[in-house]
Amino acid sequence: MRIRHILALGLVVNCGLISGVVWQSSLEQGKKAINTKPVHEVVDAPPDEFMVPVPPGMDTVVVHRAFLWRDVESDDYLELVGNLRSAGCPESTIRDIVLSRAADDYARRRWELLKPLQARFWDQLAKGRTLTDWEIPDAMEDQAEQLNRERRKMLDALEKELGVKAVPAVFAEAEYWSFLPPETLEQVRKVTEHFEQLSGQLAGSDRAKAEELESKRDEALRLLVGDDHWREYRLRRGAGARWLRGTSGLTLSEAEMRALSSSWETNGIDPRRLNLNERREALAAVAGAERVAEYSRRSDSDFEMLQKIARRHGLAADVAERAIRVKEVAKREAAAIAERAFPDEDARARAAAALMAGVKAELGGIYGEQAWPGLQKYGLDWVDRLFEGE
Amino acid sequence: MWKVPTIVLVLGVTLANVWMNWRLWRERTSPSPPEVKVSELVSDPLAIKGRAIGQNGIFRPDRKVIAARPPWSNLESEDYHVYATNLRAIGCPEGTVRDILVADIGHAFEEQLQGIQGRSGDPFWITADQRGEIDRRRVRQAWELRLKKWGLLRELFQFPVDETVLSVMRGDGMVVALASPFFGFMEREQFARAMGVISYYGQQLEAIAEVTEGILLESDYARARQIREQFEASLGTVLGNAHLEEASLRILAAEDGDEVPGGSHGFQVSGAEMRQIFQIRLAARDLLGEFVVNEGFTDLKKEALGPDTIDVALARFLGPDRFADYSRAKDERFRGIYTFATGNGLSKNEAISAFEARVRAEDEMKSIRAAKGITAEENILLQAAVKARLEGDLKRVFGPVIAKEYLGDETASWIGELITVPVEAKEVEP
Repeated sequence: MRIRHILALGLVVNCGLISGVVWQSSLEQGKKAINTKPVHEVVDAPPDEFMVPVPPGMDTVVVHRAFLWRDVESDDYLELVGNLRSAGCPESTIRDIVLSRAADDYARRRWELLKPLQARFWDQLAKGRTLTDWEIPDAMEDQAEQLNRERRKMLDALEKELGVKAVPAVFAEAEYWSFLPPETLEQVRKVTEHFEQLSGQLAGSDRAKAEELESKRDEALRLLVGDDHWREYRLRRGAGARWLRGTSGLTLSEAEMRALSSSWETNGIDPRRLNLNERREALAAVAGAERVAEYSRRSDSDFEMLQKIARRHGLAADVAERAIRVKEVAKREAAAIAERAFPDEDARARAAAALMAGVKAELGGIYGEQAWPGLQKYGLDWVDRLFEGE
Repeated sequence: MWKVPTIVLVLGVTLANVWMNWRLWRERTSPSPPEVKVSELVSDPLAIKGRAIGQNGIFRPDRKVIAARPPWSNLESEDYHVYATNLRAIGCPEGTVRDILVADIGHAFEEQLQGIQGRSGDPFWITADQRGEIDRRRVRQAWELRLKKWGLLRELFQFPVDETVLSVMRGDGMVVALASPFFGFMEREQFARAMGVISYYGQQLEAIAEVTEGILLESDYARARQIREQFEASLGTVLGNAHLEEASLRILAAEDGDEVPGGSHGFQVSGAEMRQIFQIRLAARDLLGEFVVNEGFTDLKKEALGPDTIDVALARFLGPDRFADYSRAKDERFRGIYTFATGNGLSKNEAISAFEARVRAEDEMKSIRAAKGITAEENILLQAAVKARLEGDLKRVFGPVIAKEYLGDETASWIGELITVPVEAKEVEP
């Protein structure tokens, strides 16, 4: 009887213990199942253990001992800065984290503060009030202003701690000095900036002093770079070079551009003040009549569009040029039709329509079937306007 | 004899079970410290290789400390996906992951963009056309880079967001000042995502328009239509239908607010009715289409319903009397009269009578001016008669005192301009 009791008791106890083992094992399995979830699904509440999925394209992951975010996290921005520094976080990243967070926190508070206003949106509109006429409760307005002040103060303090992000200065004159070796260019930049600062301190109306400062700067730069380089700079900075570099339709080599700029510079000529013929003559002297004619064609108001259409369809560079030649002929023919005597207006209209159809067909032949829809949509306005003067 | 071994066996089994339970309990209640991270630095000699996931289905990290490296450097990676995974793995809040990566990618983007756009390496003595060629290449490269950046950000966060959107959301500028009262029905995060979506798809359209130099072909339109569909779907996903509709109504109200008289000039309307009015007007508009059109895709504009169709729907909603109030309140001519009348203690009905007298007089003037077969003198006489009747009507409606005041008021300057001298009459003047 006694041994039977012991065996029964042993059986009951072991059944209980085995159940315990099974239960605890199942809990462990469940935990593993949770841990294998992708981390981004549990980011807001980091699990006690991290089971991280293999990033795309990798079949092996490497493990380092690191820290948890909660070890550096703090509600105090400056404390957060300190913690991140201790974790070896680069200063630029600390700036990104802390300044963004501070600005976000204030923006969030402001959003929540003003949120109740939106509920009145339709009622305000029904009263004929635009946003600027909305009646904002004084308390809310005060709080918003207070929040703005706090925000500015906090961001200033953080910027003081973290330093203001350096924005690399753009040296606007760099392209005129691009022929200089880097170290000389850097010196030129410094000198130029120095004089810019001095100039900025001048009263706006003090023209004489400004000119004096300008001469001093020029002299300093000339001494710094030497006469040859100074001449090259002056040539590049001159009105001639500016006009040549900024005018579309010109085909000139470097030597030709230099020769023209140099000649204008020496003779104190500003090409922008020359009339069309004078400019063409000057160009022809260097580039020849053929290229001047080409330039004239390219100066046509429709050339740019015709060129864009050709470019869009990957057509040869001369296609737009051929189209402009067609335009020149069409304009002459349109003028002739306008002047010619016709038995009646219908006959004139028929001649005009025939010319326009012929021009379109010719352009279609130049641009080809594939580019025709684009040409029709963007490049044929002028054909329809051929007789508009009538 | 067999009793002792049996008891020993039962005890042994029991002890073994107790021990297994104890081990499992210990493991469950005291887990190893979670000081692990994942990095891609396979070749790093300081790194300790863990078992590959999939080797036995369970990842068991080595706990060895690497003291030689600052902890943060273990997180960073040149691959932003890995960097993001690492940050998330240490429990970095999603907002902070975004702050770090968006800013980092933004800085990298700016650097690369400057590399593309920097002119310092360009030859100086080249023509405008040659420079145009270089610039076109730059534009293309810059857009490729910009869209690549958007693509990466979208992959990392599952929705488009960039440094500009975040910076606007954080700023104290106009957008934020207007956004809370206008769009405060959304959560701020939802608003930021909507801004990101608008920016992302807007830039995709802008890229096509700029790279093609505005020569938009059917293939470009096909792409734009596709972008528009994705844009619409993304906005729907981010905002949900109800918020999308509310946002559209409010945008329309901001755009067309001046055209809809709210609670003024004799038209009384509740907030709910106002909303309904804009709902009717919205049905006639394609706001998203207008956005796409603004980016240069003019042919994508859907045919909008004409103002007459909207008026029919509004008349049905408001009823004839209130629709008449609504129409009058939109009319600048009525507004002037109404403001004067109510300012002088007169009723809305009196303002309406005066307004009707004005409309009648103006219509008659038009007919007289268009009339043929009458001389210039007759024309002027007829116009004067209409004007005199109008002044009589105004006196009757306003009463002589207020009418006199009105005729001297600057809002009544239109009465003085009613009579126009016919051209022929001008010619015969000495």
